[in-house]
Amino acid sequence: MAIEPNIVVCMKQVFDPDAPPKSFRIDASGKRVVPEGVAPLISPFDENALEAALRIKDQHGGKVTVVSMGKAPSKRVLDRAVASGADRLVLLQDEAFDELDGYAVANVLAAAIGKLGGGDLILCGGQAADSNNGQTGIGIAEFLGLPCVSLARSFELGEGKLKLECATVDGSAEIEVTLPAVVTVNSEAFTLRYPPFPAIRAAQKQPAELMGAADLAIDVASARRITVVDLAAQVSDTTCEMIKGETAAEAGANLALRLIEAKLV
Amino acid sequence: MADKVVVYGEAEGGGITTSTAELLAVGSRLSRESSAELVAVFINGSNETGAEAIARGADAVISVQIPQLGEYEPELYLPVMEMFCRKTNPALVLFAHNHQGADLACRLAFRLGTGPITDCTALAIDQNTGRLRGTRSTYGGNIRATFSSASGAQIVSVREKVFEPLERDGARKGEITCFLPEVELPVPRARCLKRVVAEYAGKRLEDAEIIVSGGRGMESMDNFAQLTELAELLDGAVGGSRPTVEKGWVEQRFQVGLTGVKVSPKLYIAVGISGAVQHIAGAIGAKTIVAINKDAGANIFNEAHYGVVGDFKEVLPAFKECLREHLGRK
Repeated sequence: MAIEPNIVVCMKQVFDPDAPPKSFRIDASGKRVVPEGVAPLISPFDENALEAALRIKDQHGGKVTVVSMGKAPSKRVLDRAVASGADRLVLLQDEAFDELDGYAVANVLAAAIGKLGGGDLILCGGQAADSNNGQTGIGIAEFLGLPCVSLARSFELGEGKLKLECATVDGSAEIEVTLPAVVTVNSEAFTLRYPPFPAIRAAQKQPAELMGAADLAIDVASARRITVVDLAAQVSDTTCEMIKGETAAEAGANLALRLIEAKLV
Repeated sequence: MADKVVVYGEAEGGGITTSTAELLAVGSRLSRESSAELVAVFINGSNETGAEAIARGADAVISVQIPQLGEYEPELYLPVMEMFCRKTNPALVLFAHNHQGADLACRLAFRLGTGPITDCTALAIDQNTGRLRGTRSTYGGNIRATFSSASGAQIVSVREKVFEPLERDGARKGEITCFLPEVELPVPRARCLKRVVAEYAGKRLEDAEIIVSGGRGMESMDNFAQLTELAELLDGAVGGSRPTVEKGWVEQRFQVGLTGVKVSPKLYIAVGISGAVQHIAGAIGAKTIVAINKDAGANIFNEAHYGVVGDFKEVLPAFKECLREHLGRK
């Protein structure tokens, strides 16, 4: 099993999280965010997971399958994954996959991974760049009955097991896990390689495999647990007291005096 | 029997962690709002730990005794908490959104057949449904979303340093029960072989009351190093935005932001930081934010309480000098 592992990477398409705050509007229902003029892209955290998978493949061979789900995941966005070296792209595409909660997402992904024949290693980003929830990896592991290790920053594949270095609150931990397993990937450790142009063209020509809710043995409609009751734009209610001076240096000194006066230092 | 609001407690040196005290404060309010009893649960807690939890707001304490359990191992702690929840059937379980709490809350929720509401910064009981409403930041800090569930256990993790602990009241009374569960612990498939505590120069962001943070506007590593001097003068810690970590000016451990540390100091001094949403998401917990930036239109001024528009190369030396004079430190 350790030689030529079968790796599944879960990737989410999101709207560019670094877009200006004003581009994230809330629709009339008050339950949904509609980004305006924001480009869709692969959640950067999931790009890190893909890079981790590709580095294992570089070293050990094997196969990397990318799975992405949504109402209408864009092949054009996810072609980047294939161009970078993923062997297979599976799009879980269905109206029923729209606006699912973390529980339902994990349920659908786990069912799809099962249907695809499972994997020796399932990799996820540490969190999604839009919901920032960080629960998909743990959820998939629970549904599939697999161990889950969080936030790995190095991988060493052995016979039927994997040695990982993981970030902890005060340093790191060396963890050994038996395969198959789910691992979430530390966001700083793996920057996705840039695909060469011919690979991009080839990826665009390679068709994606499609799967819908009907292909999975679960009732997506009843899989939701958590619902949105309210959304609000994050507005700052602070007013900034601007500290001035004849020169920038004087302003700096005045700032010190103001902080001392306000007993902040 | 009254409903239970449960706080997952963490012990520290015979007492409880600050985060646990914060959870007890918010749990105390939620248990009143829902006419429930507030129970703190500790794995292998002592009597002193239990007494401290009661002094900080718990109505009762349950100490689950499993001597063979050591440091946090998800695959061992999870079945213990699952068994505890199936036995006591709490309406709501609160975890701190820290390394252990965030992980365990998520695993427990899925194990109990629901999803967690993670990293909450506001919590309330809906008076119509009696269900919890948890509010958290999403879309990189652009949107505040409030979530709820219709039925089943409610598992929540709460951001640290958002809620104030209650005043300690040694006269409060409550029952401390020891609980020896019959639970078969699995052989963990993921095992920790070694833990490494990293040694870093300088104060940890989590421990600092004052943080001096630099951004891309600092222009170079040498300039960035000036912040250390200011931090030492204020007995504070040095942080950096994501670009400064990418440039190698500061270690990842000290990155403030959505993907780094979310800090809640009394004072946060941002120098040369434009105030990208993903950075603000990590600094918004600060009581007071001070911004020094040469761009008057920088977003950081929308979040700051005090601001100076000017080149840090001129502002900082004078700022430091004046502080040094008045604080009477070297």
